[in-house]
Amino acid sequence: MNTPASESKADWLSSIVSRSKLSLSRVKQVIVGSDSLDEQDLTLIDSSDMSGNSMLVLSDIQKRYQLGPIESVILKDLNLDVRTGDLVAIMGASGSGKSTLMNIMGLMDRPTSGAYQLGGYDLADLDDNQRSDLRARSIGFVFQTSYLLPRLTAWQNVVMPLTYLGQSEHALREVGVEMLERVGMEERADHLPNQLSGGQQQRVSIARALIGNPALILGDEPTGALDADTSREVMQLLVRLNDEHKVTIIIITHDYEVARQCKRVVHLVEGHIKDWQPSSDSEFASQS
Amino acid sequence: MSVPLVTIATTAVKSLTATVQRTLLALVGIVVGIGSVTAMVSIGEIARYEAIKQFVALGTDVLSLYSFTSENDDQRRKRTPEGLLIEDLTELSKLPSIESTAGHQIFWGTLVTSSPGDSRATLLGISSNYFEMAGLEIEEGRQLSRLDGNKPFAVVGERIPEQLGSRWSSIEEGVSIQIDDVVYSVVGMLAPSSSHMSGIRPSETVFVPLGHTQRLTGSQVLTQITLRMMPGTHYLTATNEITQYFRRVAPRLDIRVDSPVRLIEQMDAQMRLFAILLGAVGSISLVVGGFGVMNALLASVNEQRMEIGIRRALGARQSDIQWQFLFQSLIFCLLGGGVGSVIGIASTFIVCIVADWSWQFSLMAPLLGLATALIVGMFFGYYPARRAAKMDPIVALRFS
Repeated sequence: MNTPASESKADWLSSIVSRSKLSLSRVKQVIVGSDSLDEQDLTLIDSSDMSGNSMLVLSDIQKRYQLGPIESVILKDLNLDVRTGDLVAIMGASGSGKSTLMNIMGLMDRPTSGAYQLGGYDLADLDDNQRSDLRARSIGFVFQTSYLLPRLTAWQNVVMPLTYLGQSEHALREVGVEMLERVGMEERADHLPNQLSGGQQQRVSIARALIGNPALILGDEPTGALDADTSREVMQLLVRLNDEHKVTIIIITHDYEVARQCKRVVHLVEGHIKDWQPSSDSEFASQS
Repeated sequence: MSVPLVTIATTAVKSLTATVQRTLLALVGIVVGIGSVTAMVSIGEIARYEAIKQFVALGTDVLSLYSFTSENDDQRRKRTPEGLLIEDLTELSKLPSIESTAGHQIFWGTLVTSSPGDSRATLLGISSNYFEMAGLEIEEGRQLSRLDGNKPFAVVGERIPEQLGSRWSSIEEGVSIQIDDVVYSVVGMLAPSSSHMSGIRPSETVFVPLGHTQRLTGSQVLTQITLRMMPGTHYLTATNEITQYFRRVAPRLDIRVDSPVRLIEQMDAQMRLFAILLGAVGSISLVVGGFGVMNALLASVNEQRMEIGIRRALGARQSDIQWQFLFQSLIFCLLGGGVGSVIGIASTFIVCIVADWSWQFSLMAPLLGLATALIVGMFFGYYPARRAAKMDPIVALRFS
């Protein structure tokens, strides 16, 4: 039986082990030239690795849709390099391909061409099951609306991704409550989503995104459905998590108020990424 | 990295309860289908058991022999009078596969009773070992013997005293009954029995010596001969010998030999046909019910599109989603199967009361019902489950 204390010790141990394994397999990659991931490797992508290194690298990503005779190009020659521990806002007008980019980064969609590396691994050749497992473990999603399952309590919602990694729910309550503590929601662990306010629901969904100790948290307009005050709270939470736990976070937003709190802001214009560092708050204000 | 069964099951139940009303409606078809399958199996079993029970009382080593006279070929008959004769009784008992024989003539007459309306009585003229052959036992008095010859002595079925009313006193004191204009001295009464040899109800029959009915009617022809085979003889061997005997003495006579074994075989074939028919009816309602379940599941898949999208986004594999909905279907159908089994058994019980059969619980029927439900659930759940699993999570989330 694992007590929380022994678990964290085990985490620390396994992260050392995984780091060494990871570097070993990198060596293997270089030597053999193979980027393939086996199931064991999937567990190795986590946020504790490689501070300052690239967590996510998109190179020459293209996404085209063929609708009858008309071909529409959503993303073209998109390049993006996100460092481990970064907090990035991706901004863009509607129709700029934000959602498509989000889906590709979240392994819900595949690019037409181009390479996607997460934690140093090329994810192009993964099959559907491997992509599902990576979503459960290595990528945390925070959607515009919380997308909590209405019949599950807060903690059950939080641990749901772990159940898809083969853990049984009833053994996970403690883990779930612990994660709710991080977002200040431990008091509401046994509440159903409809007993929570919008901001509270979003906090629960952030706890859910954190549950697998993911390499990357993707926020798709995470404050888009919230009022200004609640929006600020949720952003503060994300900033704090990024600060304290070094979680890499990418937020897609069209809200300058949100982007302002991020370490890095990029613009998505006509399928391209344009880096843009605001020099001052006033420049930010002039944009909005 | 497989998801534990418990997790799948609880997930399935949770999303099942979300659509209780539709679930219940879809269950009706399954309930009816499984109900009729269960009823079919258990009624069939009980009916067969009931039928066999009657033969078992008789013993399976007894053959019944009938002859037919068709009116248009009277001319071709060599033997007069045509039919089974008393002399055949002795000759047949000499055949190697036959142990003993008994014969009877059957008549109907009016039994004179104390009440104004007289009642019809079956009068059976029997050879002396008839009771032993038919498995009938005497409750009171004695049975008829060879010594009774052609005298008007009678053994009555146990229901005859009721019919006589006040005209009945007791056998010990001496009682007589009148059929048409003949008065018989009653020497014995039968014990109740389930035997139905010769197609009569022994309890409502008056048995008299064969010699007496012969004299009464002037006919030598027997209605039926009953034969007991030597132990271990196959009925076809005995039937062959009997047929050959008649080919020799009365080549124009059409005879038929019935064996309980043969009748049971025939009945089995009939029951199988019956079962196939009922099975077909059951299958049709199961197919209809199955499509009902499929429909409900498809609606449920559609309704839970958002949930599917969320689960997929958060790491559920296609197979996890597929199992979630397949489990819903299984739970659906097992629930319907359970209720259907109970209804099937209950209706069997009612049929048994109406048909005056002894009811017995057979585990086979509900087990078969539940197994069928499981198969139906798997079969009709597969497509909706597959559809849910194949759903693109992006599309599922976008439209919710």
